[in-house]
Amino acid sequence: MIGCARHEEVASYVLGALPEEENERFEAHLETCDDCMREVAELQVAADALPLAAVQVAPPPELKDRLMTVVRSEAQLLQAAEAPAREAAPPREKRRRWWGLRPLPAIGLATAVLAVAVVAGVLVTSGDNDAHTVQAKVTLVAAPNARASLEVKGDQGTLNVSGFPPPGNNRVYQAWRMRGGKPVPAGLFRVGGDGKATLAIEEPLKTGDQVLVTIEPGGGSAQPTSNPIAAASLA
Amino acid sequence: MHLADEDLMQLVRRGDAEAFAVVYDRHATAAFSLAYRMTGTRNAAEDVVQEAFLSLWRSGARYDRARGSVRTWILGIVHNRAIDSLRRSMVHDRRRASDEGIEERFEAQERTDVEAARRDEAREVREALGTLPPEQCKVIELAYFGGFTHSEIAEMLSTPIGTVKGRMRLGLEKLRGQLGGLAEVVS
Repeated sequence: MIGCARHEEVASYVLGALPEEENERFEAHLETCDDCMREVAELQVAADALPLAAVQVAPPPELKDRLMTVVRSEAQLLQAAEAPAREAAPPREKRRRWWGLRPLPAIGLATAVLAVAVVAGVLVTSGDNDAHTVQAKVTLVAAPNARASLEVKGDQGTLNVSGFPPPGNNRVYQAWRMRGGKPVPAGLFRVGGDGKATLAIEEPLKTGDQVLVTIEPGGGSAQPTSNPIAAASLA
Repeated sequence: MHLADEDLMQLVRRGDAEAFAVVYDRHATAAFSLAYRMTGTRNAAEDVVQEAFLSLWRSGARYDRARGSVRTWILGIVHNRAIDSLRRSMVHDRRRASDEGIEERFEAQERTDVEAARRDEAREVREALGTLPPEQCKVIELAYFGGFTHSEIAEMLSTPIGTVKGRMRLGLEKLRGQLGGLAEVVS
């Protein structure tokens, strides 16, 4: 027996039997209570063995196919987005994610279901003057019809999206200008009920830049905290 | 070449899809089995496993080897996702399919020694659970596999919540003692 009054919550905690709010409170408590922490470590050993008690059932092969389709396309995106960064990055710098960001902060469930793959920029039209449109091929798991394109005129860019789902509670879409491997915030946008939005990119653009879109917490972020869901490269 | 899970996770973190595929192959059956046991339907289990592995792919950086094996970590994610799914759907009492639909089950093929060893571990865990007093086993199953909160369990069993908590604790302590060295193998 230990002295802490909350030790009786420990078993519920390791079994996942605390309601969400209590769970959060208990986790906060754990940070300050060594007794409970020790107790968690002990009982966790037993809880971790429980999944083995389930009858073993193989998942259908299609599940892997579906997953790998998403994963491969995201991997390609990461590579595509990483390429310019690689060229520009100082050699000593260890390359990880495309922006060199390390831990990805917690991604909400909605975001995780949403967020996905991407794109290579193709110079599609060349209209009057120097205006042209870069199509971004966007694949959102939850929104197969999502599209994005970047209209470029001089150094000004306008991002048009359609078919984008709401980014989730307290989340917002954020555009970034990538140059030399560094993302710079380039504006926030939300989508209307029709899934459409238009954003004037807040940073000047030039050849070789990329415009990327991520899903960020409410007010936007100073650095991307999730993988891009769309990218367009200025050829 | 056979890479340890922890090394594969380093590659996954850098966006290596093939490393991810290996991690999936190694742990998909355990993940799916847990999800199926908890949700009771194949569709829900597939959704849970898909969400869990996508989250692993996208946030592999959060894996911390100091806190346990990759397998334990993955099963923890699956467990949380399955609980979310159960609590979202709120059809607790309709989902006893995993206990009833025996004919729907098919056992995973025993392809490797590793899987055969896991099969033995599974038997040990089931036996250890079987040695618990039924009332302790019950609350642990309802909590862990059923995704019920301790107060829901107290209500279902018409038992004071303090008693439920006590049974959970005693059951886990006993289980831990029974499993002894196995826990090391498992994680």
